[in-house]
Amino acid sequence: MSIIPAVAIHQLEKSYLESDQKHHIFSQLNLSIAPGEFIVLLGRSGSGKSTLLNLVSGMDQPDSGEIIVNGINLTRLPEHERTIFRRHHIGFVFQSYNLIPTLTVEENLLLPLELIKRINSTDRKKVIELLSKLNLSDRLDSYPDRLSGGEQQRVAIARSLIHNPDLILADEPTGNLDLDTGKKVLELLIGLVEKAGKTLIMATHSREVIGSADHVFSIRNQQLLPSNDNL
Amino acid sequence: MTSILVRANRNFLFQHPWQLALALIGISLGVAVVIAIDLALESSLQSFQQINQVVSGKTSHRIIARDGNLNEKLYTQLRVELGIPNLAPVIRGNIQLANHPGEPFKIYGIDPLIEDTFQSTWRLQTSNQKSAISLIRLVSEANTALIAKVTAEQLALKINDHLAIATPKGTLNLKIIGFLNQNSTISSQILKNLMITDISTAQEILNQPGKLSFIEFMSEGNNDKRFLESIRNHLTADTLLITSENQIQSMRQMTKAFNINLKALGMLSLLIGMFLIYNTMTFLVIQRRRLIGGLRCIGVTRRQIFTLIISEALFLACIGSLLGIFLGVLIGNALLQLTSTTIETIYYQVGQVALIISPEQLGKGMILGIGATIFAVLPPAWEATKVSPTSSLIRSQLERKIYKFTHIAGILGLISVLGGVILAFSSEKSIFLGLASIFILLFGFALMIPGLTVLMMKLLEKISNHFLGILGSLPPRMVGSEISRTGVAIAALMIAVSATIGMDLMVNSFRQTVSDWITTSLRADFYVSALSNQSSTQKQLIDQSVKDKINALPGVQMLSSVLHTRIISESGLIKASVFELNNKSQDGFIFKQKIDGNLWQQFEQRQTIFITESFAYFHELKVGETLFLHTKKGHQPFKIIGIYSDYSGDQGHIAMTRKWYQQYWKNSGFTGIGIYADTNANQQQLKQNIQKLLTPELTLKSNQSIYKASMEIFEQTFVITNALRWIAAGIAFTGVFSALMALQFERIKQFGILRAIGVTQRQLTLLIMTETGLIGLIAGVCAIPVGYFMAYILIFIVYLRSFGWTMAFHFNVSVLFQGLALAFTAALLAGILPAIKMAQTKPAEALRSE
Amino acid sequence: MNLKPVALAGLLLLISLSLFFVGPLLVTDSPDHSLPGTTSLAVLSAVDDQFEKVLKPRKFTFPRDHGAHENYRTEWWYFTGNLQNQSGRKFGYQLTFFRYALNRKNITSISAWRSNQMYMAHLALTDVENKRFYSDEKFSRSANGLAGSKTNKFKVWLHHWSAEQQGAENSPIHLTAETSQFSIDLLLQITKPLVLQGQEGFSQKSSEPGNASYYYSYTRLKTIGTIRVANYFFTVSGISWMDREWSTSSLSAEQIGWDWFALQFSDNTELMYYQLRRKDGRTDKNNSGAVFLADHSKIPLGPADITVKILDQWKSPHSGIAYPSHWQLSIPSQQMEIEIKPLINNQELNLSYRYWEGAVAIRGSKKGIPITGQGYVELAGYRN
Repeated sequence: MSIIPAVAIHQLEKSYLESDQKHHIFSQLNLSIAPGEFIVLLGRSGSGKSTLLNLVSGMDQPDSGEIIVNGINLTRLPEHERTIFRRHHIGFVFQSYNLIPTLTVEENLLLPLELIKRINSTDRKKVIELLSKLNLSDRLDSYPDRLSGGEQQRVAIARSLIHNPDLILADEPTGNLDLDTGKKVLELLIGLVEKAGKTLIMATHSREVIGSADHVFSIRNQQLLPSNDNL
Repeated sequence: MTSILVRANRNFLFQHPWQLALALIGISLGVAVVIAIDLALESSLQSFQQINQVVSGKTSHRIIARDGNLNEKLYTQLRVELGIPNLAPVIRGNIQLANHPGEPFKIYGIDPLIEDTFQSTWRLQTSNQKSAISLIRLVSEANTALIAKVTAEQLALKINDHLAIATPKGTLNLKIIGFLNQNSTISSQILKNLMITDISTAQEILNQPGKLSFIEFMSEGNNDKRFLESIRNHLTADTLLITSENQIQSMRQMTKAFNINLKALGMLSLLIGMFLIYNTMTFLVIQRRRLIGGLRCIGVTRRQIFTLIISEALFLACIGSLLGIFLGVLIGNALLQLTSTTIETIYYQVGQVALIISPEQLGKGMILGIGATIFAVLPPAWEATKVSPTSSLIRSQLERKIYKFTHIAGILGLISVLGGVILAFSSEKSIFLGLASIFILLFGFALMIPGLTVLMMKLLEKISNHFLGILGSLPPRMVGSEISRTGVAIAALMIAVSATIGMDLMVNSFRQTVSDWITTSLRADFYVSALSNQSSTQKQLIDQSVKDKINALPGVQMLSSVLHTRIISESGLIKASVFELNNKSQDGFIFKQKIDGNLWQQFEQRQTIFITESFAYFHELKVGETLFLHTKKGHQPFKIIGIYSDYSGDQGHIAMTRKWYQQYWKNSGFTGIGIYADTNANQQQLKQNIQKLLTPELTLKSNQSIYKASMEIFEQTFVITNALRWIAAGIAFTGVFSALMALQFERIKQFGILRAIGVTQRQLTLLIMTETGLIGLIAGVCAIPVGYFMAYILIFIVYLRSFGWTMAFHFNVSVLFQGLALAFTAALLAGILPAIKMAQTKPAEALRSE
Repeated sequence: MNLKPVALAGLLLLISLSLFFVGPLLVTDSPDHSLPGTTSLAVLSAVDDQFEKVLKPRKFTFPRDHGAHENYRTEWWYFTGNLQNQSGRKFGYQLTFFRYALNRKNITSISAWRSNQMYMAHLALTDVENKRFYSDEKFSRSANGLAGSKTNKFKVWLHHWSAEQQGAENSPIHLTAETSQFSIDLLLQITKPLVLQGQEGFSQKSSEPGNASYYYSYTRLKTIGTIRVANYFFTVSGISWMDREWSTSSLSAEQIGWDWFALQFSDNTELMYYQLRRKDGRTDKNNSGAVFLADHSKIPLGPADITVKILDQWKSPHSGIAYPSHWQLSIPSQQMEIEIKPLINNQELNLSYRYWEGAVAIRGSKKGIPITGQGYVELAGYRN
């Protein structure tokens, strides 16, 4: 475990305007996550789970406070730098899979790699390997809408890991899946992340993952509090 | 339909003001252009009729002279010797106001004492006396005139004030003794810059004693047959009786080609406008799949959904058409001056013109706008009814269906293209069918666009994937996969660009042909020609004495001459050019048939004529046939021995030698004299010597300056065509813009994902611009063959039928590149705004949107 | 004289009013179109004093005086007649040419249309059997040969309508005029010589000097020829009357109209009488006439010599104007007592200038002997 936290958040303030009224989402929020930790975020819909993930990924900016990921202060970076940072260090898993419909499964996986460097045959091998791990070898050339929800989410997980990011952000990854499939997908995600030794922040309702989590937080009163349900 | 249902939709509409505005623009511009052209052209004709109503009233026949000048004694003979009633003598001309020299003013001399049953407008006028008295004063007091109130107000004149006009003998003051009354049937514009005087006053002002411009006859009772018979028997070889109906008809006929060609351009605008409407409505339907699905869930029937969409379209159509009508009137007003100038130079004297708007025309515009909208909305409306209440179709499923549709569309397109080609070549002489075939072709090509695009994109994707990676392959994939949106944009752009290419090629070919023709025709070193006399409608002619003096100048090798006149043939008044040619000027004729050695000898020695290509086409005449002409020695046969190229007018004319003309018609002057200098003569000196012999009405021009002037006229005739073409291109641009806006709007989430996985703003902008650039390129590439095809049909079918002209096809590569560049630039420009908008959307927000 | 024309000073205007007011559109905005407006008169009389005036008798020379006297403002050639075909079907006709000088300026112009002489012609036909009355009018300037008169022989014309002497003096006069509805084509043979009306052809119309005309007549013209009504042609014969008169002014402000009688009796005598109607209703002392005997002698008549009694009236359904329609005429000095009745009541000319001019029949006695006759009566200046 390194001294530098994977994610450090200091005095985070975030609000949004709705018809001239300021609504606070976070105020004076602090958080520190060590590398390799698995963090679960609980909270009602609209409590700000997704917003927190967006802030950590640099897709959104706070009103004030600091977000430091891997020792890089995202709040000080311009938009372009944040994007470059994201493509190297962050892997995303969304509730609604969000694969690019015009790309095949393989291409969806290659895209994050391509953004970083020139793709070579090793990369392709890597993709095939990963997909076979996910039991998707036969879906290499399929377009996403030919796949089931579970399959799509598995591809999405693969996409989030393919470029070897430091931090995986998962936003309700099972939200659109049935219980059984959801369970399998979760197992897969957690297993792969652990094996790779990556940091994972997952926003979810699913209590089944709580057991495997290092920390469980819930967002209440614009703060991040350790969850009582942590049994 | 419940009001809540309507509101649910309405709210949706207003949430997309861009799309709404663009759809309205599509309808409005299309309607506006069609209306504007219709109004402008009809107004020119109507104006002519209204002037007739003002000057002559209800007439049924007109007696005209072939050279435009009737002897006034004819009127006396008809009235006194033949006892023919209901005749109205008229002399007309142009005058200049002393204080407003540039402003054209028409003078009409009438006889106030003719039967009042003519009910001409000049009888209704206001003055300080009773109408009748001031009409009598027109006769009894010299230099009195009636003008319209509008004119008087413009010139700040009251009754009994004087209006100064410029005459060759100096300024003349005319006393305004009354105002022409405006009434509902006559546009005030028509009465503007128009003056009514007694015949005597007009003859004095125009310095045309003894002349009338025409005599009107009003048929009234059962004796008319007898009267008409005796008029006819009394007419000489130089006079002709025509019915007013006939006259209007022949004017219509004359401008028919002009009319149809312009209207076709208007329809082109509307066709492209329809793409815009289709695009918007499709967008609105697709965007609302969820809403519609929801509505279906709660029990809204398919029919209700259909009605909802259609009524929405109807609402848009009404507003759009109304806007279009309003806009159309504005554009029509601007076009009117252009069209009437063109008509006036090419066809006939219109006189004063005014935009005359009839409710029928506006109704036509409304129906056209609404009809086009509904037609364009039927597919998306039908589509909307198929949204099932349970599953809302995902986009790609829809696209797959559309993929299938591209095949059907492609096949239909191919059939249309074939049909268009068959129609083009089998439609005989009809200009309308010729143009219709172009429309069918365009439509067919447009239908083939989606399939072609998909094919091309597949190919491009492979290439770009190889060289540019996955991100690089995205633009062609996006174009191909969302063909329902991109296809429409590409088709609209392709049509506009192909029209541009087609017309450019046609105009270039035409220009080249005309240029060659003028160069060939201009054989002399100098030309003396008569300016058209300002104060009369007649062209001044050059005297024989002038010609003799020029001939006697040192350095003059020889002369040629031409007299442009009109002759009466079996089919009415025809134009004739009477030549005195020499061996050099003979080379200026480009014959359309093989000529043998003694052609010129026959032309000079025998009773023969040449006819122009247009004349041959319209009168269906061939070499070897005979034309009968009215001469002072009765009807005489003239054998046609040659057909030659001439692009100076679209009705064509005949050509004969002066020798034969003088034998059968009264001797007159020359319209132009060609001067051939000795090879060693000092041209500059000669020019000065000739100039000294000329009166101010005569001009001396070198062949280069005539060439230049002719080409300028040529360019002028395409001013309107060009303007309309750009309007069509503008609508197409709006269509592309609208389609791209809609497309990118739908993809916002996808862009969010890309941004999430690390695609930068710049990369995204580039991605979108590449996609729109591709759209432009496909449109441009497809437009090239289509434009070429169109040019071919325009040149060899439409223009041949319209004007009887054959042209050589001059292929011009730069036109093709320009078209390609135009399409590419237009699409790129249209893509800039959506690209920037999309790139600037925060990825977090983009991801949240559905 | 028939005054008819006389007052015509007004009539002329007619020219103007005439036609122009007839246009349906114009009628609406000029309700008083039957009356020569004073404005109009003023305008056209502005140059009145430039015309020559009829101040004293003159010597007539023919055929010169059959032609126009353009120095005088107005002039007319007036033909009326009673005709019948072989089966006795009766017709009346009127053909009149009016000349009116718009001013006296002599304008020189390059245009043959420049003229200040206006002509108007009226043509009327009475079809007694069908009780139908037809009328029509024409106008033209005297220019470019469209209308005019000759001084070397009797000839006056307006367009195709004309009155022209066939040969030398006293040869028949040929009248021809046609409209789309009816036409006349008649030969008028001079059976009694020309008579000078008034004082040797000088006819005073009111007391002011110059309010007078030169006036002569052919009182008995034996007529043969053809008339056409619609598409039916009739060969007719009968007796016509011609009046020639020119003047510059005639009526005074007091005089509002006139009744004119031109009567031809079965005993080869004729009578002309006009009475001027005054605003105050009194008999005008300028009323005048004459009896022309079979021996070509003339007995002048003044207002004291004659009484005219109106026995009946007829109201025009067209104009609403009431005209006298039955008269009793007594000339005690001639022991003449006659009654005059129109052949049909409706002989109102609804032209630019409206008046009543119609064929009449006469019954009565002269010197105790029954007498019959025919003629024409003109009633002018009547209003509602």
